[in-house]
Amino acid sequence: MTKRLTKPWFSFGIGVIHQIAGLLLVIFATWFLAACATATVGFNYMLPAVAIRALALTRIASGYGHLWWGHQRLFVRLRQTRAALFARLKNTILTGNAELETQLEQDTLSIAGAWVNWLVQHASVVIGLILCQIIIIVLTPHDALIWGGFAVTLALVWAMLLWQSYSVVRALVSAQTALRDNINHTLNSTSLWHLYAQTPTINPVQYWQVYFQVQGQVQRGIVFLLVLTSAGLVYTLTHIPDNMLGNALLVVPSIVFLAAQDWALVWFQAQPELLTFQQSQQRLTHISGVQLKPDSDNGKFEDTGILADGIQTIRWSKVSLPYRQKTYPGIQIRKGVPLWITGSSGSGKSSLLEIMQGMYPKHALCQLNDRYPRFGFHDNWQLVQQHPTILFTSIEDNLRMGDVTLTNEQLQQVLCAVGLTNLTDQLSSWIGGNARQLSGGEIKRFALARALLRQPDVLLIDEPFEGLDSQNQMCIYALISDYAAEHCVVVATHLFPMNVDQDITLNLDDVS
Amino acid sequence: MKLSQDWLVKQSVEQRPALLIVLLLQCAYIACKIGALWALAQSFAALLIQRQPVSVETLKILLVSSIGMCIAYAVLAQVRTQLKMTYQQSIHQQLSQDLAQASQHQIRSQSMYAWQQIWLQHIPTVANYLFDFVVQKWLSALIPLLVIGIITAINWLIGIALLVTLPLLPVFMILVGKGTAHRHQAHFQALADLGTLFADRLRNSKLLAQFKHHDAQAKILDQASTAYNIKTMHVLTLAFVSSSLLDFFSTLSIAIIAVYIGFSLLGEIDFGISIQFVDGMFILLVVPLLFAELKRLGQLYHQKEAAIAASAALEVDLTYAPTEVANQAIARLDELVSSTSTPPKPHWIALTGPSGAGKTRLLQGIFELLLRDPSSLQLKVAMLTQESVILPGSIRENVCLDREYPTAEIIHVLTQVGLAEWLLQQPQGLATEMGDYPPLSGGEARRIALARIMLLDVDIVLLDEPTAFLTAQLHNEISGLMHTVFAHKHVIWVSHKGLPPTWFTEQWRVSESGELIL
Repeated sequence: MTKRLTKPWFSFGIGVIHQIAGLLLVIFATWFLAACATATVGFNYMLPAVAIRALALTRIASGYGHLWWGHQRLFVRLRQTRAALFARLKNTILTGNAELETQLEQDTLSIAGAWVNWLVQHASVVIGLILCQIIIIVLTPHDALIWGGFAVTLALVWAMLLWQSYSVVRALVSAQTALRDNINHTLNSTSLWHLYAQTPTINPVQYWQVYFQVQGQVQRGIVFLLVLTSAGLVYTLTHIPDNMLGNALLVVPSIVFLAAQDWALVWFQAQPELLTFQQSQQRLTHISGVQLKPDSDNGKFEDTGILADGIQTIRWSKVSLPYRQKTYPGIQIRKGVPLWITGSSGSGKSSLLEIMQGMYPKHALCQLNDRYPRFGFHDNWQLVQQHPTILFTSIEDNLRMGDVTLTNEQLQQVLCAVGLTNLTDQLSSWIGGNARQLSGGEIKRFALARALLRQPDVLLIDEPFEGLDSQNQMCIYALISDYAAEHCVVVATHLFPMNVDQDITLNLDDVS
Repeated sequence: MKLSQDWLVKQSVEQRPALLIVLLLQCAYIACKIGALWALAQSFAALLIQRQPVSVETLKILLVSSIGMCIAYAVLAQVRTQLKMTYQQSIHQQLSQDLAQASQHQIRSQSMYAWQQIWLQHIPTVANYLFDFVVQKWLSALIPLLVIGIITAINWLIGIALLVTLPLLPVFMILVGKGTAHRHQAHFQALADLGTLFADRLRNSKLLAQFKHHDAQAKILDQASTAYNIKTMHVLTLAFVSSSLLDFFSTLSIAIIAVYIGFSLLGEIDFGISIQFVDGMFILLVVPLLFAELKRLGQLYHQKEAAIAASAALEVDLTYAPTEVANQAIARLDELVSSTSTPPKPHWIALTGPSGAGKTRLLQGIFELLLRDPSSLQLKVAMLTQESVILPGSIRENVCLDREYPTAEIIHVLTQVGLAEWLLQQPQGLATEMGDYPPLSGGEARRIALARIMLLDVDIVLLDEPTAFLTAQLHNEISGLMHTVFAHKHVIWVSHKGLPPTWFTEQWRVSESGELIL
């Protein structure tokens, strides 16, 4: 039973019933009043009075039901939409706007809300128009044509506005993008403002104009509705056949036109909702991202036996940086000695590490020991990024991401090793998101701890020393050296806590 | 939060004349509507009771008030949009002025996304709040009183009954407000919490891929959604009752009034006041107006919440306050510059101190003072920070910004900073667009930054670790270059990396506690 009540058609039906009951109540109540005034002897007034009360109760009950089931439906749809999107984005790294995720969160919300926000509204208006047509044909056939004409015209106006709105939406999206770029460029160059003759300013006016254009369409639609219903009202009052005079039914067409001013309004009011929905739908279908091809997809190289005695050497050749015209000669690392990559900011250290991990398979040719595996994204090659991210969850869940069987002692041990002893007694407390924030240096060490817990075959670390004091730098340096004794390790850094042999460093500034 | 609400209240006081115009137009629209309803009731009476066609006078009233209604609505829409636009621009103007005065640090203290939201969302939200919600609030107090007044004038019994048997209007409004507020809070909190979790997992897609943790997280997200949904629906079940109240009363009043008037027309019930058909019909037609504005207020309620959030976001601290140390430094600088012998000798000041003591902050302070108050020292200042900014425009635009220089001068300067060869490699020379991925190394970007300053005729250059992200070798090259090109200017230089002490005429130190030791 409860299962059936959460079905979409149920919340949909109850929403439509709510709107229609309201419409019928107004028509019926007005007719009742007219009928009472013109009543002849023997007029059965009890039945209509009961019907009016029944309609009122239906409207009230369905109103509450619509609120309840509508929201229920919204939540269910939201859950489904997000689950589907999340599954679709598996192993995909989103590119584009830095806050795309927040945008997607909003988009899924507006897609899930479309049901309550405009589908029910639009359906109610369509059903209302048809229902009124039937009522008029049955009760006052002389006005059937004029109502039919009104309904068709209204639908045409609505369709025309919708058609126009497609181009308006496109304009809105591009104006929005332009304004975002404008804000980014203006505010990113604050350090240059004093060098300008005129301080650069942001120009939001064009976006706002398009934004108001969307509102203007709604208002134009409503004015149309008012004009059409007023005309219909005047027409029905002046074109009453003589035989209808004194007949209570003659109020019906006029009341239907009058009521349309209220209930058909939502057709136009809900249009921006529809536009947001379209916009969100568009964004969701055109998400740009890099699809990571996991190594298991490309010929499992565990099977080839290369890894039987572990990785001894890795060679990358034909390395080219994405978005940059830069190529490198071969790069080689071997177990036991870390490779130190150095270079100025912008020289491509971080990109090189990502290439090594296999994020951009077309940008390098990789050779393990003396074999060429088909190369893709390796999840057992850990990359600790320059600005690592932390999952908004508890400390222990963060650390157990790779392996749920790790014991608390193991977690505490590795936290101590990276110098985060203060976290060892609060494994169950949440971090990241809007919970407790770690400092930049703490996040770096936390991410290193998390990577080490997985005992990766290859460890790639981006700027591990930045933001650490010299004591912590030494501690991390020792940890990396230890791990490198038994594994392949690459470190990108522009800081060196110790002097490092020239022949195990690679300076990207020297490569052109 | 408290502060923000005050700001919103102040805004609505400042905008009162504009808001009154909107209110007036709204009232005109509703007055026309009531006129049309009255004419309609008259028409029904003529057609049903007198069994005659509608009189020309009644039709005239109907036509005039209908046209008036359409015009009032169209004008209202237009005027409202215009007023919103004007208001949004005034806020924008104010913000732009504040931004121009703000320090880089203050602007950087919030994310780019937060800034984008200010123009894309928050400013329009405040305008909507003022010109929709606030006006609607007045309207929903005004119109019910008007309607009840009209009804009482026609039939005092129904008027009193409406006033007394329905909850008193103020109580009603509070009920609506509280009910909707409660619902919104529960609803939005749940959605926001779920949203945070969802966006966080999307943001960490790389991490999840690296740890093969995607499926586990998908399950967790789904569980969290289900749990939230159940919990939230429990809260909402009660909250919906209060927001259904309006619908309840407006529906019930139509039903009861129709039945009551109908029965008294039939003579079935008699309270001692006889009622005419025309009056009864008019009352029935006009009763929905009693609730329509309150209902609309409920629909607009989200604007209030949004506006409170928006005003909190708009309250960025962009005020300027010079620090004591900066004033001290300026005083010393004043001393040095004014005592200069002829021909003027440039002062090179090295600013040192342990990390975290506030060297960058001090340098920013000096910069702000020099920039804002040129009268004291009359020094034109330029500052070079750690990061390189490359604009998406052409190389020429990147070097000249919004000024114009002869091409020969630009090329001369680019040659001086060692970019001549690089420029030759660019396909369209100075017109080459830099785009999103400029073909520049870290060192080359620094040289562009130097060229920008050299084109300007400044007296003093402030350098805030200009070689921070460069390797030791590049640091030496770029520092040497700066030593040459700024040889005839005053310089204050903050650097962690080694510089030849012979370059400097004076050493300033910032102590651990943040004091300036000259």
